[in-house]
Amino acid sequence: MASQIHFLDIKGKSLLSRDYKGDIASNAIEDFPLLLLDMENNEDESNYKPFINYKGINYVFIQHKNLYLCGLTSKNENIMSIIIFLSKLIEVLTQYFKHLEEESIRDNFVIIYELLDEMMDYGIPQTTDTKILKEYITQNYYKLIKNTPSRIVQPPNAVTNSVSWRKDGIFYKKNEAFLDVIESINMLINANGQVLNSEILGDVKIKSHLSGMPDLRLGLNDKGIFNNEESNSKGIEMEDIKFHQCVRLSKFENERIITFIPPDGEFTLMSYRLSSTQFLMKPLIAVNCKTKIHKHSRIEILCSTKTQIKKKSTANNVEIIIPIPDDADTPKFFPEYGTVKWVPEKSCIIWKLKTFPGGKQYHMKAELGLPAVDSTEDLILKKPIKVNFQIPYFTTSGIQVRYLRINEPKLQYQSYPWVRYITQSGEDYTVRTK
Amino acid sequence: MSDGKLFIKTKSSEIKAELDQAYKKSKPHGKIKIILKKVTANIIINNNEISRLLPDMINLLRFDDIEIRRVCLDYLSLYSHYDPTVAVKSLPFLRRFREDNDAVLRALTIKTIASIGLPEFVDLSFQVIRLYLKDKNSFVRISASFALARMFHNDSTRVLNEGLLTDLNELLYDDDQGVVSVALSALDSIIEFDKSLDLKLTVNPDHFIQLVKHIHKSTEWSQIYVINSLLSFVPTTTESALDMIELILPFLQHENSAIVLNAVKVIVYLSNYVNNPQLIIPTLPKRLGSSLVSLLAKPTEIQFLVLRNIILLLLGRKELVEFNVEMLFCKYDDAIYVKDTKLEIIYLLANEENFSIVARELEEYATDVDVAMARKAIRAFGNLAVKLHNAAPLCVEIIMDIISNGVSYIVQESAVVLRNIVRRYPGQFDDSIIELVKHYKVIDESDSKTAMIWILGQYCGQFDSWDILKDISKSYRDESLEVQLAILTATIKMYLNYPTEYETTTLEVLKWATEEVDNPDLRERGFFYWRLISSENNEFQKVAKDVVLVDNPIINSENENINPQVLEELELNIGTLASIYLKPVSQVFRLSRHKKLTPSPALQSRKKKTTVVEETPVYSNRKATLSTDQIHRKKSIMRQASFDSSFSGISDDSQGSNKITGLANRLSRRASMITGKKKF
Repeated sequence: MASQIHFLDIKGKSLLSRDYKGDIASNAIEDFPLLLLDMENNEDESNYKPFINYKGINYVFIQHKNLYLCGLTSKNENIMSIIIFLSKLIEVLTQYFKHLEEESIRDNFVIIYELLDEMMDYGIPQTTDTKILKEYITQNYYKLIKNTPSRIVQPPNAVTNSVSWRKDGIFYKKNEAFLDVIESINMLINANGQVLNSEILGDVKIKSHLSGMPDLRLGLNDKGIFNNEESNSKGIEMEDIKFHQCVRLSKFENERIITFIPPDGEFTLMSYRLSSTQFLMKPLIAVNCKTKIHKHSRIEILCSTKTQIKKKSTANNVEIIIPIPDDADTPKFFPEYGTVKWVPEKSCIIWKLKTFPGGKQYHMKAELGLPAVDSTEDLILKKPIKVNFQIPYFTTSGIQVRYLRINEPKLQYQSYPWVRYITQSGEDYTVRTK
Repeated sequence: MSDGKLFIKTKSSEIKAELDQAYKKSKPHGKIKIILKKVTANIIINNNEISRLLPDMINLLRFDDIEIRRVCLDYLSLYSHYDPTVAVKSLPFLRRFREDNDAVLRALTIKTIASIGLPEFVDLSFQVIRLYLKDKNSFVRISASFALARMFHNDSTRVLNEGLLTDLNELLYDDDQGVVSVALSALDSIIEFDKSLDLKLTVNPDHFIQLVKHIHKSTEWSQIYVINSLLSFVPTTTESALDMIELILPFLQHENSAIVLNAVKVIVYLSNYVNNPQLIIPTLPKRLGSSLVSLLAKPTEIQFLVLRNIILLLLGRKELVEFNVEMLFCKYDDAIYVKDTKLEIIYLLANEENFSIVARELEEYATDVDVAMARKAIRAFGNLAVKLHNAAPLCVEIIMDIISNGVSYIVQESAVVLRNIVRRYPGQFDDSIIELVKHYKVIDESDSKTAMIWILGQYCGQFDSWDILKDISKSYRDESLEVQLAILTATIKMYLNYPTEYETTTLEVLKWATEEVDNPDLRERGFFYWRLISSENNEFQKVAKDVVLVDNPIINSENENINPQVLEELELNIGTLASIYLKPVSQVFRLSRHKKLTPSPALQSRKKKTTVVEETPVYSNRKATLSTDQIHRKKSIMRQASFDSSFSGISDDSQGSNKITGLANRLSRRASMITGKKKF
C-alpha cells in the first residue's frame, strides 16, 4: 500500500519518516513543500486537494494541527486504506501523547519510529489498536523488558489470540458497564425556518469494567428494529449502522441481534445515521433572526428562538452564534433571557441560554455600530447561524435500550449495566441567513 | 522523560566513544540503549555519516537483549549496502537468531535479511523464508510472507524457480486468520508487481465462505484483504454471485471506512454477474447509498474520496445506488474541493422529480459570497437545463432573477449558460436573451464574450443586436482569438441577413481579418467567408446562406456517454487513486495491470451506450464555436484541428482506437466539466 510514511511540519519539511518498500527514492518527499506551496498559491482554490500526483509519485496527505502526515505510493493503491491508516495513526499517537504536535514528534521519536514499524509492515497496515500496541511498546518501554525475567517477549496476542481486541485475565472487583446513547442532530434550516435536510448521528458508547471474557447481548426497543429488509413506514429506519469490529456482523445480519465480546475500557459500540425527515420535520430549536444594516452607522439584530421539544424536556447550554460584519463595534444587547457576548475575533455574537425548557420562546435585540467609512468588500453576510445545545434524558429517534445482558461463562459474576441518553447538536446545526 | 534532547545530529566518532565508555560498566545495557536512541535519531534525520558505525552495531548484536537487537537490526537493513565486506560479518549472528526461541527475534531476523540486497543475504533469506513459512508461530509466518513479497520485487525469477509461491499459497489455508490475510496481501502485491507474468489469484468459494465466517477474529486491516480477494472470484452462475453479495453486505456496516468502500467495490463487481441485482435484492441501492452517505460525516479527505467514488457510481451504475439529493447539499464550511464535487453530484442526481429542490439549492450557491462557487453553481444551472427539459423554464427564471442585479461575474457566467440553453431549446427562451443583452457592457471575459457574440449573431435583427454587435466589435483588434473568430462569424451572419445595412462593417471586419491579422486560422477563415459571400454561382449568396445560416444540431448533456470499458475498469478500482483522478488507469499508472471483467456464463452485458455516442454528436458544452462546425461538416475544406481545438471531443473520427482515447479524454474532462475551467 503506502511505500513511505512521513511526518512533516507545517511547511512540509520532513520530521520523521519510515520507508516500507524501498521502491520510491528517499528524496521524493523533498518535493512536497514545493507542491504544497504551488497548490496554495494556485488561483483556483478548488485545485487544493489532499492528493497530488507528481512525477509518477502520489502524495496522499492529511493535516493535523501543525503537522502533515503524508503517505507516498507510485501504484494505483487503495488510498482509502491509506487515508484511514493515517487518521488511525493520529488517533494512536494522540492516545499515547495526549497532544500530537510537532513538538511531541521530536520528544518521542524513538517510540514513534518503533510504532511505525509495528503498525505497518511492507506498507500494509497491521494493527492500529492502541490497547494492543501498548502491550508491548509502552511509554517507557524498557521497564517492560526489565520486568520480564526470561528474555522471551511474547508476540502481541493480537496475532495469536482468537479475540484480538481483548486480552485474557482482566479482573475488576465491581463489574460494571456504562452505556451512553448520544444522538447528534445536524440540521440545515433555511431563512424561513424550513428544514432543508436533517440527520441524526447516533453513537452507542460503552465503558466496560468487566472481568474475564464476557459475552454481551444488547437489546433495543422494538422501534429500533433495524428494518432494512422491508421498508415499512412504521418504526425507525436506521439508514446506516456501523459496528465496532467486536460485533458479530453475520449474527446481526441474520437475526438482528447485537452480540459481542467488548474490548476493555471505552469504545464506541455502534453508530447509526437517520436522515429521517419524519422525525425532524421542524427544528428542535428554531431561530428566527432579522438583521437590518444601516450603512455607515449601525446594525440591528432581532432574534427570537423557540424550543420545539416536549414540555418536560429541557435543553441545556444553548448557544446561538450569530455572525456579524467584521468591522462592527460597540455592541449593545437586550436579551429577554440569558446572556449575550460579543466575540470580535470570530466576528459573531453568542447568545447563551443556560436552561431552556420545552415550548418556551425568547427574544433578543442587539445593536452594533458600523464604521462610517466604506469597507472595500460590499458583500452580504451569508454566513449561517450556528446553534449548540444538549437535551439530556431524550433521544430524538426514540431508540431505547431494553436490556444489556452480560454473561461470562467461567466467572458468573453479577454485573451492573447503566444507561444514559442525551441529544445534542451536531457539527452542523445551522440556520441560513438571508 | 522526553527524548527531545537526544534528537540531534551526532558524529559517529562521538557515538563510538560513548559506546566504549559504556562497555566498561558491569551492566552496560541501560547506557547502550540511550546511545542507541541517538543512533535512531540520526537515522531519522538522514545523517548518512553514521554508516561508519556498522562494525560497532554488528558487535552489539551479541547482547542478549531484544531491544538492543531491534535497533541494530533496523540499522543493518538500512546501512549494510554502504560496506558489504563488513556487513557479511553479521551473518553468523543472523544464522544463530534464525533458530532462536523468541518469535519476535525470529520475525525481526527475517525482516532484516530480506531487506538487505547483498548476494549473501539473498541466499540466506531464501533458506530462511522457506523455513519460516512453516514456522509454528503465526507472527513469524506473517513476517516471512512479507519477506517473500519483498524478495519477489528484487528477484522474481528466483522466487518462481524456488517454488516458494506454492508455500505461500498454502498459507491461505492457515488456521490463523491474520496469516491468511497477510498471505493474501503478499500475493496481491506479487501479482500487481509485474504484469508480464501470468499470475492470477483464483478463489475457491467454499473456502472463502469459511474465511468470512471467521473473519471477525482478525483485525480490521486483514479484513480488507479478505474482502478484496473476492475480485478474483468469477461467479459462474447468478446464484453464486448473489450468495457472495449477501455475504459481503454486512461489511457495509463496519466502522472502518476502508472496509466499507471495499465492500462497495466488491458488491458492484459481483453485480456484473447478476441480471438486475437491484430487483432481486430490492434494498441494495438504498443500503449502498446510505452507507456511502454516512461516510460523509468523516474528515474532509475521506469525504472527498467518497464523493469521487459516488460520481463514478452515478456515471456507470445509477441503478445500483440510491441517494437523497438533500444529503449532498453543501455545508457552509465544507472545503472547496468538497463543495465542487458535491455540486457535480447534485447535478448528476437531478431528475424530473427533484429538480425544483435542486434548482432552489443551486440558487443559494449562485448568490454565494464565494465567487468561484457562484460561478460553478450557475454553470450547473445551464447543464441542468440542458439535461432536463422540464427544469429549463425554472432554471432560466432563476438565472434571470440573479442577472437582474447586473453583478459582473454572474452576467458573464450566465451568458455562457444561456447560449447553451438557447441552443438546446431554440425559440423557447427568447425573452431571456433580451434581459441578458441589456447587461452586455459588463462582459469582458473571452468565454462570455464569445457566447454573447454568438447569441447576437443568432438573433440578428431582433432587439438592437445590430448596434450592440457593432459596439462590441469596435475593439476586435485587442480581443483573444476565440472572440475574434466569433466576431467574424457573427458579422457574416448579420451581413447575410441584412446585406445593405451591414455592408460597410462587414467589409471592414473582413479586411481586418484577412490583411491585418497575423494568426493563420483567423486569416484563413476570413478568406473563406469572403470567397463564400462573393461566389456567384446559382443565386446570389445562396451557397453562403446554406452554409452559414442553418439550424444547429441539438446539443446534449454529455455525461451519459462515457466509454463503458473505461467505466468498467474504474469500477473495479473503487477506492484507489484512479477513482480520485477519474482517468483510465493506464493513463496514470502505465505499469499497472489492466483490470477487466472476466467472462463467465453469468456475466451480464452492459447497456449499449456506445451506439448513442455514434448517433448524436456531443459537443463540448463550454467552448465550441457553435456555428462554424456547420461549415466544417458540409465542406470539410479545412482540417479539423485548425478550427478550434475543442473539437477533439466530437466523435467524428471513425477509427475505433482513436475513439476510445477521445472518449477517455472526455471522461476525465467530464469529471472536471463543471468544476474546472480548462483542464484538458
